[in-house]
Amino acid sequence: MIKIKLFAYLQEMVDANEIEVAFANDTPTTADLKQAVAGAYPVVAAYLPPVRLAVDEAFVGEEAVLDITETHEYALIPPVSGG
Amino acid sequence: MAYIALTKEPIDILDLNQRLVDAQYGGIVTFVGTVREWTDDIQTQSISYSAYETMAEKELKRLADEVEATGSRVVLVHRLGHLELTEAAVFVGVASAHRATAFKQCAYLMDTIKEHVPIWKEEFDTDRTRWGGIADDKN
Repeated sequence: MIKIKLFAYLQEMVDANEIEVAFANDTPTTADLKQAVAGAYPVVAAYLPPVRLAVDEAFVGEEAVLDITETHEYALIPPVSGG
Repeated sequence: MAYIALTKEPIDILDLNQRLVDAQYGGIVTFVGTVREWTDDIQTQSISYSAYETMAEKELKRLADEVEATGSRVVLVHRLGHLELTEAAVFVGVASAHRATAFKQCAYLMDTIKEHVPIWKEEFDTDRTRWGGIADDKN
């Protein structure tokens, strides 16, 4: 079970700034994580493809393998729109 | 030394520009992004900006360090919270020895902020509310 921070419209759609998601194994990829989030929160599923994952405040790729046995800060980053 | 900030207060453009003034630089280029009323036929009334603040600060610092490694000086400030029309949302400033470098680096910084720094806008338009970054929302 890991905690994942949400921002912008993802936060609004789920009505929470953090969610918890469970995994069958300890080394999911970013793509697995997004799939798990989509399964647990169908309301955001259609919006997840362009969303990036940040681990400890740094972007990681779709194929990155996550070691969820360690403590890290996870965040889903929707396409940014500052400026 | 770069000056980086996320602020809920109005951006003081003259103060930030002054941070770039130095005898070693011959060119200062600044960009100020402001809240625009019209995007095609969509009329915006105000915008609210939010951020993953700790990561956004890190990303801004990383970008500024990259540019300052060339000898330039960088100022990057983004406003958060609720902004009315014409208010400044972002200030990007670069001082360098010559103008060509300052123009190029200012554009690079602004373009990269819009692609990579975790800051989001929520537009309050006359017909409805739109989040930036959603392709079908025309922004």
